[in-house]
Amino acid sequence: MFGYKGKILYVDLSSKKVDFREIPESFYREYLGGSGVAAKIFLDHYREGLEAFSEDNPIIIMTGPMAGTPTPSVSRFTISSLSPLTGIWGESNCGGFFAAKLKFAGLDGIVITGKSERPVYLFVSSNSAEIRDASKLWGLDTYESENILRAENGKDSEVITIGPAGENLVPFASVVNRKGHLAGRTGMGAVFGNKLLKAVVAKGSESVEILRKDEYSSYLKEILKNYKENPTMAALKDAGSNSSYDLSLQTGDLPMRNWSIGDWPEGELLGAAYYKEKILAGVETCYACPVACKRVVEVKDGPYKTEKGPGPEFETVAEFGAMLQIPDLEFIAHVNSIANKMGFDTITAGSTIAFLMDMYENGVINKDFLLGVDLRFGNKEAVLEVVKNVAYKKGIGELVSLGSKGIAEKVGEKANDFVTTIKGLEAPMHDPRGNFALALGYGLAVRGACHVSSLVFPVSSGFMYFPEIPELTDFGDPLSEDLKPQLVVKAENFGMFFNHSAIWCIFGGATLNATQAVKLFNLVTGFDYSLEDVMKRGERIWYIKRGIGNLFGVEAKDDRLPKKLKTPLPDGPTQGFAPDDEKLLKEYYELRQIDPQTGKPTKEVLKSLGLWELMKLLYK
Amino acid sequence: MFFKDAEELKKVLGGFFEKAAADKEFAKKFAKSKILIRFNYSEPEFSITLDMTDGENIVITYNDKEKKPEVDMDMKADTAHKFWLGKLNLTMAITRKLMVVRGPVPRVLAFIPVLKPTYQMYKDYLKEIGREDLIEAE
Repeated sequence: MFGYKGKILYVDLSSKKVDFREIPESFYREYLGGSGVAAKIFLDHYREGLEAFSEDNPIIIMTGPMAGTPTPSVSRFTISSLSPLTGIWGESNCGGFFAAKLKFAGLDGIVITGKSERPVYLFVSSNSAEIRDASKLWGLDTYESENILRAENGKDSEVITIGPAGENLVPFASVVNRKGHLAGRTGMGAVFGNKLLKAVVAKGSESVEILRKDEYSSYLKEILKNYKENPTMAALKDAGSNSSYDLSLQTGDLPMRNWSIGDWPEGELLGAAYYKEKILAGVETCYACPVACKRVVEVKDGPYKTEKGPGPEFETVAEFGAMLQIPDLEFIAHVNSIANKMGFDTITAGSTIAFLMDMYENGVINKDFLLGVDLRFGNKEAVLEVVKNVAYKKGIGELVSLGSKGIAEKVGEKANDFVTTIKGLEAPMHDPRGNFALALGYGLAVRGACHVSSLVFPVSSGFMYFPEIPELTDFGDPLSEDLKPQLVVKAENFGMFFNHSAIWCIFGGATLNATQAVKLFNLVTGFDYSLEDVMKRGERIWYIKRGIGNLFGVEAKDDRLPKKLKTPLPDGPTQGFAPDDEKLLKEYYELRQIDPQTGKPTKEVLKSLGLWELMKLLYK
Repeated sequence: MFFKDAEELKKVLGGFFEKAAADKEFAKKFAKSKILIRFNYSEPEFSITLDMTDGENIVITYNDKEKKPEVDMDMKADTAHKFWLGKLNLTMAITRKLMVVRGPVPRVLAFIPVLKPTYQMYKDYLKEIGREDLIEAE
């Protein structure tokens, strides 16, 4: 097999059994890789009553076919499971170096079920796997855990580990590689923690075979030339993901003060130039990526002194800066470092804090509810108290550890005016009031509100361009509902291939058009798929994920934006605008053949895609 | 086409840059970049060079073949007009090559934080020269 290793490791932590299973090429031809494969495996594990912390809830770690090859920006992996934060399909993908190493260890992926009796870590190398004691690692942060495991297993090993947030079952705990590459969203770290699985270590040196080596090598040279010439890559290389901050602030893309204002003059202090001036100390990259968008930061002294290490991404700057009204990059670097060490998602954490601040300042909750903490917008010390305690569920940290959905349930109906979740997941830092396509992009994202669950955001905001797909080329005025359902359907179908199964990074992958992406995939695997073939498989994968959502209770009502995200802003570049999600959804459901009441794909569409098994589960 | 010929383009876009350059406080913010940048327009053909190398002032020249710019930006005049009106998605324009940057892209991106007031300035300028028709033009 080319690209793929043709092998997935199954581990049962209860019985301590490991099983290497050969995977036929025909399986990969249908489910492609990454979370496409994971969705199919998850469906095979489905049972009624399954919960995130059930022993048989599988953790599915999957790479894509090009991981471990020199193809840029694609050596990534996904972690999928039932999410403890949302109660539905959870997935998170991650760059760094782990995916390539897993392939070098001879594996496409790992499926972990069961629950250990004591803390363990999983060690995998060429054709061997061991469940090892991790008692001495339990309680350590992700930096310490990474350091010890690499010292023990060699610098040529790669580690993914959880921190105290995962151990303590914080539902938005993440899994971390090399201290700064996070599978951040939907709480996959807590599923690790529940199984008493501290880490997975991979080691190996098997190469990944490429079918048409010579043609691939010469085509890769062409692609690498694109990387050098592409302006988006230049911006990312220069200023990382925060290179988009200044434009985001100016165009109304950036949510501020819990999505309540459109203008914030101090926001300028968080832009790319200030990032360089105040905190930048170096750059880092992921495996085989010429972009090197990862930032290294350091705060040498002052109250937020922070050791040299991975820096905050745009989303973290936006959350702890604009959302919480804190125009201080040194503070944000400090908070980011704590979140990375403790192992939790800064999007959910930041949004949950903003949600509490908003309710507090509007009198919905009082200081007693906040355990005496004066959690007002801009109050850095209060935010720091939360961040330091959330992983340990202490004091106000325990409250915030519930996430927005959990807190909203405690507060009751009044919280609905302030909460910013869809399907239980907090919306990320891009505002649909300036980009109506995002209203559907968020509403239909299979893991809950998300800007990378499909290609809706990268395409509609302009940094990705696929001229071969008409619906992704001409989609009209960003402030109109017209053509957006068509855009979203195609962006979901192609996205299931592009950034979910092949697992291209949405940053590094932005230099490619669809033809180039499919050609690289074919040169490595030999599948000889057309764009249409790839779109068709992407479509099936999307329906499987949607169907999994339905099996865990997702209905059409859950596809709506929360009130906050569709209330026009009083000022700023998008003042007075808001998407009409009812209008968007009506057309979208027709295109997708989704029942507008139940939210389920119709029997007809499932039959037409050959998804018999899913149809039986949904319509039994 | 919003501009029938180079003369009209010079009057509108060139005039706007000159007005901005005359505002010393604003010019100083822009010139902090110390960049020499040339906008090469097509439909109609025309170029405007902004020389900010002294770090204080914006020196404007037209169809200047002498100065060697650090960055060249190529675009249709209509694209430029939409940009200064604040009606253009800059990211999309660059991705789709409606604007082509030749030279270091980060030097251009460094302007973004100081651009915000310019959109209103451009609209005000169009009103001032009696070209309100261009504000609503699509």
